[in-house]
Amino acid sequence: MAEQVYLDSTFLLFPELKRAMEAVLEEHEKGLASDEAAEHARNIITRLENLQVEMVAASRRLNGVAVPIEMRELSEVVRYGFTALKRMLVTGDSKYHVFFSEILYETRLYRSAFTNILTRAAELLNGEVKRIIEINDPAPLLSVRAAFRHRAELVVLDTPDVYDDPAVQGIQSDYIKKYLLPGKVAPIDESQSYEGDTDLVAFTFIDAWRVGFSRLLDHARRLLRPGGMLAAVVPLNSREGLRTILRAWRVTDTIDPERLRGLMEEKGFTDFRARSYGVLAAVTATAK
Amino acid sequence: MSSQRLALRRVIKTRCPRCGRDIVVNVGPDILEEARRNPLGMAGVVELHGDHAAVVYIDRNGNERGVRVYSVLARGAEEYTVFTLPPAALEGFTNISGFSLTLKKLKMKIQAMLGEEGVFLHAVKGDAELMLDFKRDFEWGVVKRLAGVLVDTIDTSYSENPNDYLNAIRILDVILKEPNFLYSQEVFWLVTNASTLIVKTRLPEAMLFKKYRPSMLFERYDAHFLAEVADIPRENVAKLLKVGNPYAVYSRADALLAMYKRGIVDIEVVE
Repeated sequence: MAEQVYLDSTFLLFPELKRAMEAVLEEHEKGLASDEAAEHARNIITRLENLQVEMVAASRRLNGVAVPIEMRELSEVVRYGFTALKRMLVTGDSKYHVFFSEILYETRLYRSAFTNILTRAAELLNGEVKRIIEINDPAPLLSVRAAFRHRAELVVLDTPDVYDDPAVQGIQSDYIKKYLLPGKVAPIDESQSYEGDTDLVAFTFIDAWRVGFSRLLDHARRLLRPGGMLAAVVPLNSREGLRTILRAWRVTDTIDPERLRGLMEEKGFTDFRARSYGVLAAVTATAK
Repeated sequence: MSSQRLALRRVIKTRCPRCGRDIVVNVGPDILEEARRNPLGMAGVVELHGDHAAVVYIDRNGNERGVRVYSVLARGAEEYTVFTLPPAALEGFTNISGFSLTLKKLKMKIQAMLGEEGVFLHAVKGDAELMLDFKRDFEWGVVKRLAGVLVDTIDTSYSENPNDYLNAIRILDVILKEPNFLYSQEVFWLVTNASTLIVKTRLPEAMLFKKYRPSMLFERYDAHFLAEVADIPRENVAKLLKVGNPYAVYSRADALLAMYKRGIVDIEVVE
């Protein structure tokens, strides 16, 4: 029941997402946004309009229901995420998107998910931890925490769209430097040297989800040593609300924890655990 | 018809706010490269107008980002403004016993306690010339590397305030004995330009920053300072960096840049 409230609450963000996408179109009319950005904004607006009935139904269900503080907090940050997304689509400046990821990680839901994963990591990674890898995270907080505890090397692997963005790469490098960790930011295509030799692989943010869950698991399986740990935060997409919101960031692959479990087993993972936190789930598993 | 590639170069025409003289800037690759390397994405082009100097700021895209006039500099075509700092200015220095800094483009020289004998290091980059005298011997490679970074930074600085450069040398003095200190050129740049820059907070970023307190910033920098900056709508960078401890100066400058890189504050040139 509580899960329904969380999922219904995501529909309440639709009007703001629509306004952000309309602002992209206005900028496009002034010649300040690209055709591609405008096309993307139009697609999202159409999708939001097609889901009008579902949005009204969700609002009705929430009538008189107290939305948990955790969800109100997450909604506030996601609303800012729309502003950051609009700026990124119009100007290409991703610094606000980086800030969005950093404050998102400070929300109660994310903090709880991270605590769950770090507790599990303390159980599973008892011995020398040589290397931790995080995929496509502008602010790799979870893996910094894990690497700092274990004095491990931290490598942030990026797909080309993230790696080629100097604003993002600069902040990722800062995370490694400021916590005095050995490590670096590297393109994911140059990760052969880490294959089968990594203790923990993590992905927790929208930019990683955009890669697609099947591909993320392939990367993780390739990189992890036998017995190595996979740690992930994934969105719960059983309703159209969050799924549509994530499409604004071009996340098109959706998965629920049960399907994820099946996929992980197929790809050679075991010891699967998932715990939901509102619209998110903390997932851990080990490589066979 | 030849298929020679057409080389286009942007020319910016602006006017000196002090004397009204026309300023023409040919935006070449060197200027764009300097802007790309600059933490705020700007390069300054200096023109001397008799009793004042005008600096035109150009951004990474070759657009003008403002003109600033420096009045106390360049009294005459060849005359340098010389600032001789009192011995008290070097109080607390443990490694550097004196220095002399010459900024040819701004016709400015700052000097403090530079004797005629000693262990000197002479570092030159472009229009900046730095002479350092030391109280003791150091591993020469470390000194050369750090002084090189500093003089490279100073070459792209346009502050007329000697305190900005003194602050940078104060930081150099403490990191000389810590070769593993994680320094960055962009922090030195902010320190050497502090008087010419202002910080403006952005909304809603500053509000969300205070509410959610991103771990990396609040764990790695002085939390009180971060909250203070998020609270003030507008402040001069030199004022925010005014603390006695050189590490604190460095850390505050680094913190301001970290906030700037996330869009929590804007850092702009004082016009």
